Parts: sequence; structure tokens; C-alpha cells
Amino acid sequence: MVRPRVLVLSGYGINCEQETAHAFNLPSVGGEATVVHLGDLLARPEQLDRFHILVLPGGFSFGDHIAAGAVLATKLRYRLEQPLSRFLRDGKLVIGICNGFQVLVRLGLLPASGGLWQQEATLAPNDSGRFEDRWVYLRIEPACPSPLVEGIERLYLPVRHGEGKFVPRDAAVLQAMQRQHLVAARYCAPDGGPASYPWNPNGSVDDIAAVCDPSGRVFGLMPHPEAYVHRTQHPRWTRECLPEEGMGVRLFRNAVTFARTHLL
Amino acid sequence: MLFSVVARLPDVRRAVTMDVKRPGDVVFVLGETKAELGASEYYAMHGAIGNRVPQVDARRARRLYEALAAATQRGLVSACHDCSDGGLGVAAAEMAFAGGLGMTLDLRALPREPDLDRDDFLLYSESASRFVVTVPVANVEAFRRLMRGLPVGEVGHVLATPDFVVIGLHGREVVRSHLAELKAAWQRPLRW
Repeated sequence: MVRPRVLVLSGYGINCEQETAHAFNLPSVGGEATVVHLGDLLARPEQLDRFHILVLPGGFSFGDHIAAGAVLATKLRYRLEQPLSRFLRDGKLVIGICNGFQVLVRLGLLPASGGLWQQEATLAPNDSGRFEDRWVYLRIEPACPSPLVEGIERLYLPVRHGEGKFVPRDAAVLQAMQRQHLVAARYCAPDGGPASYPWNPNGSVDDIAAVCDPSGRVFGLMPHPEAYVHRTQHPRWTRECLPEEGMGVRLFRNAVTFARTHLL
Repeated sequence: MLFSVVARLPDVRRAVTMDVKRPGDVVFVLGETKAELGASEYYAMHGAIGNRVPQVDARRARRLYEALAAATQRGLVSACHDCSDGGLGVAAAEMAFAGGLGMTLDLRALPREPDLDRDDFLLYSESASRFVVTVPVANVEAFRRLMRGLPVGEVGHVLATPDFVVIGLHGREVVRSHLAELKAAWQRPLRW
């Protein structure tokens, strides 16, 4: 089977690139991930063209200076806009996890309800006033157009962030997001109902945990799907009977399957 | 003294944690309990030091460790904890409230040196090279076979209720407590 090529960005405080590449390289996912340092990518931006999926992993890029993801977003905007625009125009996938999601939001690639490169939302400091490190339940929105969440109803994944509160710029953005079904997943209570703290770990408006753009091909989320790809990563794996495959695998498999079907 | 040992496991799925898992699992104690309470927590609580400190018999310990390692490799063990500060009583209580399930212990079944006849010594001795182990009923026969010829006692089982019960050498209850009470006592030094 042909393996779509995945560029996993690294460097300058990004710190989840290895486990993210591992998730894409799992035999049951079938991607071919390459970890590329931001410095190398900026030096030779044309190498982006040979990939089908671009991933901005979690971490603390540029030490979260100014605001989480702000510096990396600025670098990408001013040093990589052309190749990135080409990547998007070719219908390829861009995925941001945690810090990567913050970058995509600051870049204006998410939710992009009114067009690209205009910041429409932010990921503000958590309502709790502290770093939140816990497992959360997610309810996937069935009307979301993103291929990444196709066939998924619920997820159980860890979050670890200080700035994860999704806040749209204004009511108009939130309405546009709802109209276009750009909310991909919401935090929920264990029974699937509306989330209050700590199930909504950061105070996100409307319990928003994951967002896509109108094409569905740009996707970002605060929780870490790469942190639950094996049974033994589950916090209670020694006590509960769980399948070998962790729930996060489904997102990666969906991405790779989409790339194999549409981009190869 | 605290030793932290880090090693690489060939298969992480064979790892065993110390919290009890399921009601009905059988509780075993591995290793002989002696009246070695010198410098123990129990003596310290009573303002004493004592003079008989735990001795390690490395040769005997190794045979026991190898048998236990074989049992965990075969997936026979559901929980395992070492006996250190506070001895058997503290180790068993930690396992019980970590798993949120009660436990019974019958001290009459404990492997011990012949003239040791005090319940408190059996509970709080800090003899070295001992483990508290829980084994699912389905694995008990295989576990017993692996432990043949070693100082191993079948002392009780995991309960569905939050009760922690110890039967003494005279067949009477010497401890009846509740997981919440035990856990509160255990956490107290960290509650400033």
C-alpha cells in the first residue's frame, strides 16, 4: 500500500514530534512521516511540495513568548506563505495539535470561516488560571466536514496546556462557524452531556475542543491524539480491559486514508 | 533509606502495579516475617529504637525473586507490592486503598520464624525481601506450583467492600478498619 508522506515539524521548543511521527508510521495508520526542523524547512521551503500532510505538533514553540504559538505563526506567515498557500490549494492536509492548533488559529488558517490569513479566534489562558494536565472526553460533531473525524463519535484523550480556551473574535465568527459546521469536537461530560470544569478543562466557548476550516482539510485540536495510540498509554490500562489500539489512532488513520484516496 | 530503581522492560504489558484490581483475588505474602523491628516505623511510633534490624539473606531472596518474576512474566499476578516502611500492615493497606477495594489478612497463614507470636510484630516487622501479591482465582493453582518449596502464605483475599480486616494468631479480629480511614492516616504527613 502506498504511504502518504507526512511532514512533522520540529525545533525551537516543539516537543511532540517523535510521538506524532510514530502515530503516523504505525502499520495500522500507514503514513510515512519525516521529522523536519523548522530551520531546514525555512532554508528549503520547496521541500514542502513533496508531502501530503503537514503537522504542527505540540510543545512550547519559541517558549510561548508573546503568546502560545505567536512566534511560530509569524515565522510561517512571513517566511512560508507561498509554499503553504500552494499546499492548501493542492487540497493537502494541515493538522495542528495543541501548540500547533494555537499556531494555526493565530495564522488565520483556523477556523477561516471568512477566508485565509485573518485571525478570527484565539486560544486564551485557561479559566482555571493554571496549566491543565488531564484526560478529557470529546464528542465529535457529526455534521463536521473534516475527513479526520469521519466515523468517530467519541474520544478520550489527554490535554496538557496553559492556553487552550477557544474564544471566537465575536458572535459573527461563532455563528459562521456553526453555519459551516467548523466545530469538529466539543469537550463533554463522561456521559456525553455538556461539560463543566474539569471536563471542559479551559473554559472554551461552547466547549470547543477541535476546529476545522470550511474545506475540512485544515484541522486543529487542543487534546493530544498521539498520546493515546497504545493501550498502555491509557491512565487505567492496568485496571481496565481495553483494546490494544488507542483511540487517537483513528484521527491519524483518517488523515492518511484521505491522503491516499485523494492526493496520491 | 530509599532506593529508586529504573530498568527497561522488554514488554511493558507485563508490568504489574501495586493497586488491588478485583474482588475475589487471593492475597499471598512471599518471604518470611521475623521479629525484625529494630529501627522500624512501629517502634519509632512508640518512641523506641530496638536492636534487631532486618537482615538480608541474598541467596534465599534470589530464589523467591526469580519465582515471582516467572509468575509475573506468565501474567499470573494482578498486583504486587514490597513490604518496606511499616511492614506488611502498611503495604497491604496501601494496596487496598490504591485499588479502592477492601482486603482480609489472616496472620496465621503468614510464613514466619517459629517463635514469633505477636500480631503487632507480624503486621509491622520490616523484614527484608517480602512481597504482598494478589492472584486471580483462575491463576492460583499455577502460582502455587511456581512457589512450591518457598516461604509463601495464602493469607486472604480482596473484598468488594471498603473493609480492611486482619485476623490475629488467636483467630480473632485484631484490625477492622475502613479504606477512607487508612488513606487519611497515610496522607496525613503530607497535609500541611
